[in-house]
Parts: sequence; structure tokens; C-alpha cells
Amino acid sequence: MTQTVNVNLGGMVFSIDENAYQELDAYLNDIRAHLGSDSVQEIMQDIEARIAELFDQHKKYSHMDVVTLMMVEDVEKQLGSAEAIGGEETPSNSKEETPSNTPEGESEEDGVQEAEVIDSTPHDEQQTKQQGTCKKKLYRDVDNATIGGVCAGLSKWIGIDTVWVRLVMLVLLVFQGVGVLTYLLLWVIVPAANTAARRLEMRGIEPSVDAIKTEVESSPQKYAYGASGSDSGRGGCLVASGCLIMLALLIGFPLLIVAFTLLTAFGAVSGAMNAAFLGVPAMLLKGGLVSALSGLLFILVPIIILLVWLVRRKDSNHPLSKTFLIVMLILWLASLFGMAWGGRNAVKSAANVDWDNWAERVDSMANVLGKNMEFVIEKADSLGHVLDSVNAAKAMEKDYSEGVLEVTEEE
Amino acid sequence: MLDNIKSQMRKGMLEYCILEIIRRKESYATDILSHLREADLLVVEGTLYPILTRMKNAGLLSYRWQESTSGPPRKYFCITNEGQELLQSLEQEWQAITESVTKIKGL
Repeated sequence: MTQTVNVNLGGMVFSIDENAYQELDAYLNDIRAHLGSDSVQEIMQDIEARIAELFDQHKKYSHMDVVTLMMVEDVEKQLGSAEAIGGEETPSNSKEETPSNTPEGESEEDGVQEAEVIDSTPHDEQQTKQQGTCKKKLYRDVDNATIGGVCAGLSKWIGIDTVWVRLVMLVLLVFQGVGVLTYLLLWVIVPAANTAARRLEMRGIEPSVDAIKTEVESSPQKYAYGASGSDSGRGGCLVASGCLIMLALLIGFPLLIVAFTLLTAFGAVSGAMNAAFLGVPAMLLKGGLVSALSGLLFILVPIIILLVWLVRRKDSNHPLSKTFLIVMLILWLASLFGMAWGGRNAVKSAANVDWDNWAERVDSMANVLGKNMEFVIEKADSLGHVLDSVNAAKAMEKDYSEGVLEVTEEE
Repeated sequence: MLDNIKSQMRKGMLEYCILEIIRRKESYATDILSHLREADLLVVEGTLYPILTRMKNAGLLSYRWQESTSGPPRKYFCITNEGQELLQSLEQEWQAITESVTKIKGL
């Protein structure tokens, strides 16, 4: 007696023996790992549809309801090894190392042996010795992530322990709200290491066919069907990103508001000073407005990126475009530059002011203001008189109607 | 070594032949597979799928879905104008290659 599993292949449901399921699952994962990154999903769909067709035919001929290990092995023979489908021809020795034609029992034993060898020595060193190296690439290490894997990925890239990167991030977070923005930006821009090839590249290992095979075999749970990195990682990522957004709102938002207020105030003050002493056209040139606008841009850019990302990320086929991110990054950097330049110029022009002249102007302004105030007070006075007489007239009218006035007249 | 050269030669021809099969008649993967098998050009079936997707992405093929009475829905491929043009130039190339080979042999 064997247990069976129900699987959905190309929209058709098949009952499949447990051991056959494991074999098929491993085979499909192997193909997936061997295909290049573009249109993997589509090719896998086509291949699954073909497998479904073959199973369906077999079912009709043999009148057997359950897919057996033998059928899976036949299908594998017919479709070919993952390497052949991936089409990445490897240099000569690959066939000796990967016994694709040997019976299943043997190759399974091989897998176990390999895994044991890898476990006995540090993972990275063992693989670097076996495989060619390449330039390390920056990815988010989603397997060792606390939030989005930015710190873990950075530490792999730099080559130091993750703890130090996390400490620096925390320090940035405590001393400057900018830490939050940096983290969010990196999270959005840096891709996740969610495929075997990317995981290898992150560690600086050439993602050759053999390297990918070893990687997939060394941690099969990561590449298991259904519970694959992309699915469970996405779920985890969602929770984590929810937490981060809350955190960003709690810590980042007040900081942003304070920063924004300060920047706007600074821009407005320097702009007003320029306007007072150099005239309005000069203000446009001399930094006040530039620094105010730059400040606005500096805060808006990350918010825009975050919003766009939140809207777009559900659609995994269309992630944020590179052009968009580059334009946003340039805008952000320009805003930094603008703030520095505008602020410097505003301070400069303030320093160039003739302060005697300034005192005079303030005097004359105070004079004008004083005169205006006098005028206002005068007007208020006369308005008060008018109101008084109106009130008096009303009182008289009231008295008259009540007959009080008549009495006084008689006297 | 020998296997490698053989498979390289077959690989180059495979895309040309697939285009030719689809030009004659709109077909889905399994039709193409049976043609290739008849012509003894196929090593393993699985290699066809990445090639079809690649050619479709390159704009040489287009496809439509069709329900099937037996098995999952089928992707029927047909050739585009771009594919026709490429096929013509491939044909010329093939002519040139055979001419070159016969010349070399005749030396």
C-alpha cells in the first residue's frame, strides 16, 4: 500500500504516488534551476502541460488511475535531463559528476553523500573550492533576513559579519531618520537573492550548472515545490514589510515632518531675506527658493518610490523599472546637492548684507508700521464714536416707546 | 567530443526546422515534436520548450490558446512576418552551407 498525492499539472488533476511525486517534484525543480532567469514561468507551464498530456495518454492506455514512479521516470527520459533542457552546455567533466542516466536509487545515494560532505565543512568555503569564482553581486539575503535582508546582503557583499552592518544601520536609525530612508531605498532597489543563481552570485560563486546543482541539492527545502523561496519568502516579506512600514510611519514620519518644517522655514527665511535686500529676481538665483524646493524633493522622492512600489509589487511580472529608479535616484541626489548649494548661497548672501543699511530699513519699516498703527487706532476711535451715538439713538428710541421720555419732557 | 560536435550541429538546425514546420501549418508543441521525431532530429523533447518560448519572445512566432478534448489546453503557434523573413535568410544560409560543404568534399 502506498500513499498518493493530488497534483495540478497544466490545469489537470492527477493522483500520484508519494515516491513518484517526490521524484517529479525534484525533476521540475531541477529544470527550473537550470533555466535562465527570463520566462522560466512560461517554459515551466509548457513543460508541465506536456507532462500532463503524457500522463493523460498513459492513463487512457493503461487504465491506471494513479501515476507511478515508473511513469515519472519514463516521462523524464522522454523529456530529457534538466541540463539538456536548460541548454547550458557545460565543459566536459559535468557528465562524470552528475550521473543523469543512472537508476534512481544510485543518484539518490549520491545526493545524500554530497550533502554530508558539504555539511562537514563550512558551506561557502567548500563550494568556492569546488566551483569557479565570480565578482560578488549585491542582493538582499532573504534567507537570513530580519526585515528585508538588506543588512545580511550588504554584509555578504562587503565580506564582514552581519552584526556590524546591523549595528551601523541601528546607529543611523537612532541618530538620523535618514537611516530609515536608506534602508527603504536599498530594499526597493536591490533585488532579492531568491533563485539558486542569485544566491551563488551573492557569495561570489560562478553560477554554473554544477554549482547550481550542488546548491539546490545542499538545501532542498529552499527549492521544494510549492514551498519555494519565492512563495514563502513573499509571505514572510509581506509581514516584514508591514512591520517596517509601521515602524517607518512611527519613527520616520515625525522626523520627516520636523525635517520638512525646518527646511521650509530655512528656505523661506533665506528667501525672505534675499527678497528684502536683493529684490525678488535675485531671490530666485540666490538660493532661498532652491533650497526650499530641494528640501521638498528630498522628502518626496522616497515617498513616491515607496508608494509606487507598494502599488506595483503585487504584480511580480512588472517590478519597478530600472529607468524609474535611476531617475528617482538622480532627482534625490540633485535635491541633496540643491540643498547644500542653496543653503550655502543663502547664508552667503545673508553675510554680504550691509548691516547698517539693514538697521535703517528696519527703522523705516517700523516707522511706516507705527504710522499705520496710529491710523488704525484713529479709525477705531472714530468707529467707536459712531457706534456710541448709534447705541444712544437706539436707547432713546426704546425709552420713548416705553413712555419714559415723555415724563422727562414734562419735567 | 563527437557527441558534442553532433549536438552542436543539430542544435543549429533545430530552430530552422521548427520554423519551417510552423510555417507550413499552425501547430502546437506535440505536433512539432512528432514531426521532429519522424525526421530523426530530436534528442530529447524538453529542449523544444525553451526554444519555442525564445522564438516567441523574439517576435518570430505568435500563439493562441485552444481547448483540447483530451489533455490540457494547447498553445498553437504560427509564424509572424518577422519569422518569415528570418526563415528566408536561414534558407539562403543553409544553401550556402551545403554548397560550401560539397565544394570542400569535391576538392
